[in-house]
Amino acid sequence: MNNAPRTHSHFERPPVIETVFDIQFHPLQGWEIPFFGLFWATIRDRYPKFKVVPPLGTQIEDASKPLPPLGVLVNLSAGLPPTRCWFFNEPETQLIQVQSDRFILNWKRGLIDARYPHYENIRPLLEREWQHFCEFVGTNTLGKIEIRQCEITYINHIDVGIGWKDYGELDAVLTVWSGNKPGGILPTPDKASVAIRYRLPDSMGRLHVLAEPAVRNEDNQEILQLTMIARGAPASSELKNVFDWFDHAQGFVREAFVDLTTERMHAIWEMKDQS
Amino acid sequence: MSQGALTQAKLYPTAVPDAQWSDVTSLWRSQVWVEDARRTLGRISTLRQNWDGQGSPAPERVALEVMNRLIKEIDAYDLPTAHIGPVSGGGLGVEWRNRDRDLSLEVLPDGSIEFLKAQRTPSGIDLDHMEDGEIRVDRLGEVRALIRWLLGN
Repeated sequence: MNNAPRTHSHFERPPVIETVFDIQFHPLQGWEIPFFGLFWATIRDRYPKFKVVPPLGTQIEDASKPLPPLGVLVNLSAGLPPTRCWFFNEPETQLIQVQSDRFILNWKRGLIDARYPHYENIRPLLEREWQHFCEFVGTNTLGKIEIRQCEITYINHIDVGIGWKDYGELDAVLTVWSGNKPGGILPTPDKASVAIRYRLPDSMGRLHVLAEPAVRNEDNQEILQLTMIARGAPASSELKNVFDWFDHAQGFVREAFVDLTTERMHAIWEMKDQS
Repeated sequence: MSQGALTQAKLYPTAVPDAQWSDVTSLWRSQVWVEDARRTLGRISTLRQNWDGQGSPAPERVALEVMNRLIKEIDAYDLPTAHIGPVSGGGLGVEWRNRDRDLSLEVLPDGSIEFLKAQRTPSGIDLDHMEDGEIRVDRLGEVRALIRWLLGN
C-alpha cells in the first residue's frame, strides 16, 4: 500500500459504538428459506436470539468509475420475498446477519461491558464465523461463494455537550469543517451534515464518510453520528485475500478517523500513538 | 398483481433497511415532530422524584423505552407536533391533534399502552364516537393504524 498508516493510533475511550464487517457475494442459488433455520441451529448456542428483517440492497463500488446517482430501489419479485435474518447473542453485543448474497458480523457496544474490543480482537471472531458459514454452505452444497465486495463500517457517537456544545462549534470536532466566516451574516448553524467520499489507495475501493446529527434512542442523547464505510473488492474470494482487504481497509479507516477529527476530541477520547 | 389491486394499494412509509444495529434517529432526515419529540423525551428522562411537587416518581425507565420504541415505529409519518409529557405515577403521555381528530396515548409505568381516539364537532367532543383500548408492547406496529386514523387515511 502506498499510503501506509504513519503510526497505529489507539484510543482508550473511543467514540465507536458499532462496527460492521460485511461480505457480499453472488447470490447462492441453493439458499432457500429453510437454510436460515438450519444455519441458526449451528450457531444457536452462541447466538440464541433472532429477528427477521428486510434484505439489504447492494451497491457495488468501482473506484474506476463515478458512483451512480442514488435512487429508490424498487424490488418487484414474483417469487418468495427475499429475507435477511439476524442472529444475536444474549447481551446483544454480537450480531450475525445472513441473506442469500451477504454475510455480516456486527459488534455493538453493550450496556454492561461498554469497552470497545478493538479490531485485533474482533478479527479472529469474524474469521471464525465466516469460515463456519462457508463450511455450512459447502456441506449443504448451496453454491460456490464468489465474493463481489467487502465492507467495513465504523459508527461513532460523538455526544453533543462533551467537547463541543452545538453546531457552531463543529470545527472543534471535525477538521474538515471550518465554521462560519468571521464577521459574516450567517448565524450559528442549527444543524450540519457532512458527506465526503475518498478513493482508497491501490484501487481498494472507496471510503464514505457521513457526519449527521442524530439522537441515540436508548437515552435520547443528542449526538453527531460519524459513520465511516470502506467498501471494495478483495483480490479474490480466498480467505487470505478477504482478510488482507479487511486489514488494509481497517487500518485506513482508523487513521482517516484520526485525520477527520480534532486534537481536542482526541484528548477526550484518550488517544495514544503506537508504532 | 391486478390493475385493480395496484390502484387500491396504499403505500406507507417504512424505514430503509441498513446494516446498522445501534438504534438512532437521524435529525437530518427525520420529520420535525420527531426531532422535537426526541428533545422533549431527553428532558423528561432527566426528571427526578417529585418533579410535579406532588411526590410523583420520576418517569419509569421502561415507560421511556416503550415511548422511544413507539415513536420509532411511526417516525416516518408526517405528523403535527406531538405533545409529550410525564404523567404522575411514572408514566408518559403523548397527544396529537389533526383537524377534528385527537389521539392520546399513555404509556403506563409498567410499559403497557392505552389509547383514546376522539373526534370533535363544532359543539365539542363527539362522545358517541370516542374509542379507547390497549396496545400490546409486542404489537407496537398496531399504533400505525391509529396514526392512519389520525391522518384521515
